[in-house]
Amino acid sequence: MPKKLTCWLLCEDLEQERLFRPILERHFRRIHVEPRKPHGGASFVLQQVERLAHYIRRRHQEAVGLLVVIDGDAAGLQRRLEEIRTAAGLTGAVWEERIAACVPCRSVETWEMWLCGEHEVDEQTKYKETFGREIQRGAMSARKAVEAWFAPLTPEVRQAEETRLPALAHGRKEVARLQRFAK
Amino acid sequence: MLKRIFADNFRALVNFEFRPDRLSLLLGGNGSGKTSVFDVLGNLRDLIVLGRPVNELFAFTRTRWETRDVQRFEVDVQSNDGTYRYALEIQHPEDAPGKPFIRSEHVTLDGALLYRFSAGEVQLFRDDQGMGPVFPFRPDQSFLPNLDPTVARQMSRLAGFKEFMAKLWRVQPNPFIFEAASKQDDVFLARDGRNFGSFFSYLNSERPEARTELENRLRDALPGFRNFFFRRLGDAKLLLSTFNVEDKVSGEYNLLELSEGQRVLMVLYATVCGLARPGAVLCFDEPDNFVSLSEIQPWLQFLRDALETQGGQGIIISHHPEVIDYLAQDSLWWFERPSGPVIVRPFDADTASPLKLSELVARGAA
Repeated sequence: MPKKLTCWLLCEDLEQERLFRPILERHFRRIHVEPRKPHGGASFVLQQVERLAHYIRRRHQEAVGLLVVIDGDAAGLQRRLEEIRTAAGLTGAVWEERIAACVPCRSVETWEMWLCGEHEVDEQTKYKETFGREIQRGAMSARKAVEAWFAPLTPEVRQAEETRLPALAHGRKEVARLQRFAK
Repeated sequence: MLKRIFADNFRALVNFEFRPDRLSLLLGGNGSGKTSVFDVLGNLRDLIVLGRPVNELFAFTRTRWETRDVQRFEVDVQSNDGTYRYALEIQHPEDAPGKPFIRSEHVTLDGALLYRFSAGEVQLFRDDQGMGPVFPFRPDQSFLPNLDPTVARQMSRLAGFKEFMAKLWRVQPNPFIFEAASKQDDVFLARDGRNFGSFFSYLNSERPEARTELENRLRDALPGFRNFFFRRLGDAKLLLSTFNVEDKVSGEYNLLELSEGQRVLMVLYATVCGLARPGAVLCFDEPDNFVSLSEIQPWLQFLRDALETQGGQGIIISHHPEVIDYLAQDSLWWFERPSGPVIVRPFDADTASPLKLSELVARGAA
């Protein structure tokens, strides 16, 4: 068993933490949320990636993982992944093993709405305000989205997810990779 | 939820207004007035809930450079019934220094009077806004702690305000004055945490789910911690904790045998487990003192989750980088005293800078 089941979460904002910290808490003993800044956005996250990736590359003996979360916004999944890879300056096995990246497209609210059962969302529309209204109504919440993340997927939903929200399908694989590493 | 605090002529608070959010972090240099805000809240709570006399709470607290002999305080509270406003005026007679008294005291709900004290007379109002009893009362303390529960049935809204104030907690653990033994159960956790044993005894007998949660959390926070138990010591009880080393019980320790940091962590987790209820306002004054670096964020995460789940409110004073960076996107307030009175404003960070928020604060960039 790894000595320390710790995972670092580097994300843009509190809403991303609300979704991803509880997800990681199912697998890791401790989650350390890396510093963020008001309106820091993706650029502040990318600035932090390099130093964290550098540390993780040097500390093979510790069970430390890093999940980087950046909204896709207008850039989209592939461009964001490239930005993260470039910022991390890492390739190969170490990158694959210890660092994972989730890119909610268009934003984390898109994923939360999908997970809460709204399957008419897409990766281009902004859902921040809509999700806020659903929270006020009590119909949706980050907690419900977390529960749905771990619920078994029917083949139909899995198919629909891969078609409509490919970034979410990619994100699930990334988290699963870290999860295996935690064991 | 506490929506607004107003204080005038109290220490360095002059015409001071502050509107906290769900989770607020108060930042600022030493002497900038952050703790004075907690003093206002703590004093009002002690006046309204515990019935402490005015002179114990407000004597010699007027602003040094002010000549006015009246202090004013207001608190706005958002509830399911509407918005409460509590207003208090304290007179400091020039001919009797150190003997302040209440000049007036009001509670309203959406502008409708629920309670009034002025000119030595209390006037109560029923929930239907009809006139309630009128009677004389002493001005050296508030009548509200004496609100009779049988009368309060017709005045449930006024009682609701008092209930809110009773859920306002100020926590500033001082591990050097902890009491090892307890003689009773305490529903209240003292501001400095000294009665942790008595508070735990209350949780143990009345709130077993909170006790279980506390022990679970401490197992994560304190390496080797297993559980608490009591041992009789004459007419008192000694709170003991058991610790493991490499899965073997290594010993039983009373509170005074633990480190200062361990004691503080126990109080911090007990505050959240036992007191974070709907409507509660938890005010922490430098909770990070004595706590090891790696233990600060897990507690903050636990606090945030508890407040979001339970619907409570948190206000934290801290200078610690771990706290500042973790709460960087919550409600941050900057306190300063550029020319005498305290000024508070939303903290404005240089978002383009690659420096962390704590690094900006340390460099005086506020």
